[in-house]
Amino acid sequence: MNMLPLLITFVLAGLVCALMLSLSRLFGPRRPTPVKSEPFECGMDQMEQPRRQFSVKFSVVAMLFIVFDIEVAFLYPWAVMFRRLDVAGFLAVLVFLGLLTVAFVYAWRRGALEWN
Amino acid sequence: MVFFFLLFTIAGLASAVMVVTRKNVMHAALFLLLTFACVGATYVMLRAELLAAVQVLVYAGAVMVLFLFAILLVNMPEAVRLRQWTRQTAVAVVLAGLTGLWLIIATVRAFTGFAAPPEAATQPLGTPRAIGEALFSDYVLPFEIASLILLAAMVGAIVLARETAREEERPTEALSGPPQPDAQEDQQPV
Repeated sequence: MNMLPLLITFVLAGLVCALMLSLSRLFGPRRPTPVKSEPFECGMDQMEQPRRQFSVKFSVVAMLFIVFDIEVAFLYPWAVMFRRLDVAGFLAVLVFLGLLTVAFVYAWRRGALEWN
Repeated sequence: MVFFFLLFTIAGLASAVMVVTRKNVMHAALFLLLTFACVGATYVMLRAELLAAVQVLVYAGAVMVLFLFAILLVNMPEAVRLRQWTRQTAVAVVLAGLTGLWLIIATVRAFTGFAAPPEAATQPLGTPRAIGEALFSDYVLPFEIASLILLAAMVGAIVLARETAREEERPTEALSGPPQPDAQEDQQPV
């Protein structure tokens, strides 16, 4: 298997980042003053630290995302073998997705998808 | 190939060391992301493409997001100021050393006299195709059980989150407390 295209993609991505950062550093003028270095250069003085505790609701979303992410990952091997696996494979995936639909309905009914 | 193997293993190990030594937990999380990426690259070199894709999708993607949200839940400026070391260094070194030694012995013993079958070079076992074939022939039942485990995980997550949310609300109720007879709140501007 040829991994050269992947390597070229990564090298190009790295080059573009390095180029953009170095060019702006090279040509952009930098004369920082204390006022300029504030998070808000103009307007009112800063009232509080930008770093705040996040609500636990975000982690629920992340946990639900993991479950459905793993579900999708399981579909890749089925998708590439779809024709060869035929009806048996389709039924197996149907049971798999059916059980996860139960999970989805449970999450929905318990209000885990609501934001309040 | 050896160059890339060395590159990704050394980068992965170095970033793993950074994960456990950084005091700022957000920096540690970013180094963990680098570790995940290096492990994924190692999977690609082992010709386990599906595992590499899952490593990036699930670990570098979803698990990392969960870590970041968990980090954002804690009050970080306080966490950075906390002492990172305890006086149990000697115990930790002995335990980690013994565990490492045991891992090395187990790995060496597992691979002594082990030779890869000749068809392994021509027919890689880690491609999505090969895994799909195995998953839907010999391992259909474990595959279905996996969905049950995911279902259980989701139910657990929702139940736990509901209890945490309820506890989050409780302190404010406790602070307001029972209504005082000489209610001073009336005098304060609302």
